Amino acid sequence: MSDTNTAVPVSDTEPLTVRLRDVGFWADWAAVVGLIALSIVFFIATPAFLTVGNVEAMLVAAAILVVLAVGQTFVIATAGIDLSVASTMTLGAVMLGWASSRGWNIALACALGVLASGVVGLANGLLVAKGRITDFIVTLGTLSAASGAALVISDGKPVQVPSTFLLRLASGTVGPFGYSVLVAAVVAVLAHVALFRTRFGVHLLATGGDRESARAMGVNTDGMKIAVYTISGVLAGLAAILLVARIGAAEPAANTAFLLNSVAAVVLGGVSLFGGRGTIIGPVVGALLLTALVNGLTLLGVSQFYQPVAVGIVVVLAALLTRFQR
Amino acid sequence: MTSGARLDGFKKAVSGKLDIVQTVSADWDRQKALTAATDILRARPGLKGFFAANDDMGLGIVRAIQNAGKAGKVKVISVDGIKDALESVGQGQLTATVSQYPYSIGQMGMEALQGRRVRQAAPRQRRGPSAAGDQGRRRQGHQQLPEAVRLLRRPLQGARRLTIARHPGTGVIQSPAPAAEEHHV
Repeated sequence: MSDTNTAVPVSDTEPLTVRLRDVGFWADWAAVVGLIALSIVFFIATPAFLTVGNVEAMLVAAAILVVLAVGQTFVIATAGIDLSVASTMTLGAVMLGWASSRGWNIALACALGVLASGVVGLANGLLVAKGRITDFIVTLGTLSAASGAALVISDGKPVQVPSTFLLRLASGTVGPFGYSVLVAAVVAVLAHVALFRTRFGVHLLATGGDRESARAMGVNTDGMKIAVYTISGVLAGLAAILLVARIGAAEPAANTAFLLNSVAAVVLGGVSLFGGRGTIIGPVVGALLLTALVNGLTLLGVSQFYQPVAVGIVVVLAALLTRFQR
Repeated sequence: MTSGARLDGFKKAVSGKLDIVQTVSADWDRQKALTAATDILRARPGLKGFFAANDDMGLGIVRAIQNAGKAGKVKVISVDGIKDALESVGQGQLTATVSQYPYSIGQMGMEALQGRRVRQAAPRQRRGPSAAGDQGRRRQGHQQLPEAVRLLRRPLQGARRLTIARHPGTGVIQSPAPAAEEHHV
């Protein structure tokens, strides 16, 4: 990159040339820088990477992770962590499939899925806020309980969900963008507005920054904890709808990759695991980066065993870079 | 648990007949297989088919092929013979699924242990029964996949004589007929 790069938004009063020499600037934009660098490398290696079709496919593949990562961002911004996010999604998907296989209307089935996931999120929030148990332990417990419940309800078997509505959700497009991409985009925009343009967002970040001080200032910190976990649960339910639509079935699969990738996307996006600071655009780009990385490696035919190694290296490098955040 | 043995068996059976161009890991997961197959179909437009180590991944690949508008042009064979896979075969989507017979495999295992107990030499390796269901051979519902092989008094000694009860109208090739002879990867 040269000093003549003007594509990066300027918010500070310093001249761009000064800011580009500041390592903190690069740290703040780690995910974006990583995504651009990766795109250039993959495009040189295989021109198929930046074709319209491949970019569309990547966005569709990333939609579920984006929705989960946004929910995870809310939780992590309050210095918590939602380890149950993927299992909660699985439970929502299984409930959707359960209702659908009993002849429920598809809208009701989807609502039941979101409700089930939301209830798990609410339970997380109540246990953390009122039960005074560490976030990590509570969500570790619900991770296991929700995936177990999904196995019980589904009897361990996948169910086909034949629905024209879900099929259209998975394959329909507006211009170049799939419906699922638009859903993820709307979620991200609403989350950004909620976090940075409302009192709720200010209270949320205050809770994450310093819970005791926030409480002394009159912020309902318990309410904030309950709210963020419920949001994460509801978004996991929404992700469940996207997942069932994508594969055409509801599976009691563990989906652990979604959990790890949602945390990785949030970290890549420069959100502090200690709470109090973060963005929505960061984790969204982080999710795109992780998806693009696996996509590019697959297009290149890189051996299956090297792919997780590459993902791990990228996540740790990005985390190293975020240490230099201002 | 990895799919190593299933992949090795497949590679051995098709070596010299098919070119295997790429192997990807999808962790037995339908969604991951869908994503990976979407990428592979884009990178290799001339691809003839996929082999998946379980039916869940096979069904994800089927979906990717449909999304890419290549239904019927790219073949998919997977392993297990779960209900959804057999239905998919019936609908002409999944090309074929290879089913094993856990009942008989368990029986053979116990026979081997019993043989050890009375100091009989048990064979180190013995092929268990399997069957492939495909569209051409089965036109009815999935219920027709054969049940466990009938009980044999000594399955190990009689392994060569193992027969699979063949129900009328089933689409099942008996073991040890090759499962993927005409499918190209």
